Amino acid sequence: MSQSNFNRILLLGTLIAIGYSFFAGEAYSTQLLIWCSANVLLATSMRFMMLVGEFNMATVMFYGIGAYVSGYLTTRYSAPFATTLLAAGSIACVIGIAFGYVSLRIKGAYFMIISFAFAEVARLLATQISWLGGNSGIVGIFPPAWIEAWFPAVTIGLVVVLCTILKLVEDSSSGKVFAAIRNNDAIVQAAGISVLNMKVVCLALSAFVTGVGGALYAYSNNVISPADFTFMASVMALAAVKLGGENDFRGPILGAVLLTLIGQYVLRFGALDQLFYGGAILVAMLALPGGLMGVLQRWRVLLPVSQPGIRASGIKRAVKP
Amino acid sequence: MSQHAHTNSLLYVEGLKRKFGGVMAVSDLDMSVSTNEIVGLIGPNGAGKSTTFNLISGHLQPTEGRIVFDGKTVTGKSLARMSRLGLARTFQHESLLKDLSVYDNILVGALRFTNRKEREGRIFETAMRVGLSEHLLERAGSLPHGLQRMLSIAIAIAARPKLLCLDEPLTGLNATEVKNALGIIRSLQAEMKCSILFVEHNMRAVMELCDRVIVLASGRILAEGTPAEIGSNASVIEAYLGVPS
Repeated sequence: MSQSNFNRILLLGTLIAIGYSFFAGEAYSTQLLIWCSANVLLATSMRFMMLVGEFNMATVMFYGIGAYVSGYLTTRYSAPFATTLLAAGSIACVIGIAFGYVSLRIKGAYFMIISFAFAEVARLLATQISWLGGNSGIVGIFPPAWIEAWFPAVTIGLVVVLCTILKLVEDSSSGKVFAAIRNNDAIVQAAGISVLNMKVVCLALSAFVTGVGGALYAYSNNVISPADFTFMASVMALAAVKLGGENDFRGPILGAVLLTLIGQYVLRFGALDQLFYGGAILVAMLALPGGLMGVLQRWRVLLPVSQPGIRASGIKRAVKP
Repeated sequence: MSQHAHTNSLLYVEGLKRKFGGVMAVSDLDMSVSTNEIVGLIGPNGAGKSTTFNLISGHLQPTEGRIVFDGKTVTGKSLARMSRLGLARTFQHESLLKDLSVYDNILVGALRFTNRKEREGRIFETAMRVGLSEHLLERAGSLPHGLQRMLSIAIAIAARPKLLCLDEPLTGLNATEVKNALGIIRSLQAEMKCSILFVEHNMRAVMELCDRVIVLASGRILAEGTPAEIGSNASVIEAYLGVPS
């Protein structure tokens, strides 16, 4: 199958999902579609930070910030739907910039640990802040009545738009710099580019998208609490990226949809369901190098377009193997 | 201050020191590079060549001393800042972006110094200067070693620097590749009108290419002069061969 046919199938699947959400009404399956969409944003954002070579375990923090901002604005001020989404993304983005300038001076495992710590501190803070509802969180976050029937379709549409924006950035010159930072940050510095600034830009974009994802989650769940934003959500995002394949933009989309759907099945095993995401990471890393997208390409189900990073912007010529 | 380190040089360093714990890697170093000059920095292993290079390019911060580049005091400036001021450098190891295409490698080098319109032209021109025009879409890591060395130079010159610092660019090259590389470096200097600071172990290449040679030993300048003067300097021969002349 060619790349363009695969993309057509993805697009068709998205359109079918949107169409289905109109007919299914408030069915469980519609709810599942929204969860899939929110998780796609979470996983895509996680992968976006991996472009600069960092595992951001604070992805869930931005998801939570987005959810709390939209929840607070909706329940307290009855703010318009679009405003709450924009505020959720923007506040997550601003906090992402501050967090990035503090934490991205270190890299690799150290950044992963500090991002994990930040996310846990933020979650514990939320349990102590009474105007955010403490441990009980915020209740009664509903999308406006006029959009209720459209909400699943709006959610999927927004996910498509945000993922497309991230993809465009990845293919731009900035995306090349992100890949260069992952490869060898000293060369990027020597080319006069501030590695810290570029990493912060990457984090800020990723935080914006995650924040909007959190807002959509809040509207779909109607209730949010700190317990929804434990590090397990970041682990799920990481599992989705690894299972789908981090070298391809479509990998985390595939991974997030699959894990969300299978995740519903494993819920019946109670607390053991937590093992599922860790297991998915292990299986993906040991048995599926390059994830499912890598397998599709190795089995020639999907024809390879290029090796990672080999795309050269501006040249309309066939890529040499 | 040595006779060469005068204030109208493109680069001059004064009293440069760098300590690593109890080890003084570079001590009281005074040196300069003039406009359009090719200066070789040589010395036995552990002489402090790479540390000097890293201090000048902003990759390391000096413990003491002053660095002046293009009329501005730049002591303590970062690698990125030095690059924006016109000092480009290559790296001895890990000198390119192996997973990216040749085109994207040069793009990263040119990005900060070109606008969108002139970027592509700059990339093609740079690739042509170092003989990589035919390899633009290849993965950098899959290039032969000689071309990888040329690519690391291409990344640096994409910025059209005033001073190009080359850290052992000829390592691992065979005789033909060395000859070819020296020709390219010489023509780059002539066409781009830049100065070059050149760290290299290949003595023949240093003697052939450089206008002036600085010899380091134990973090200090042992000798300085034209290639002919250095070739016959007794202390240099002793430092390299370990026997008095």
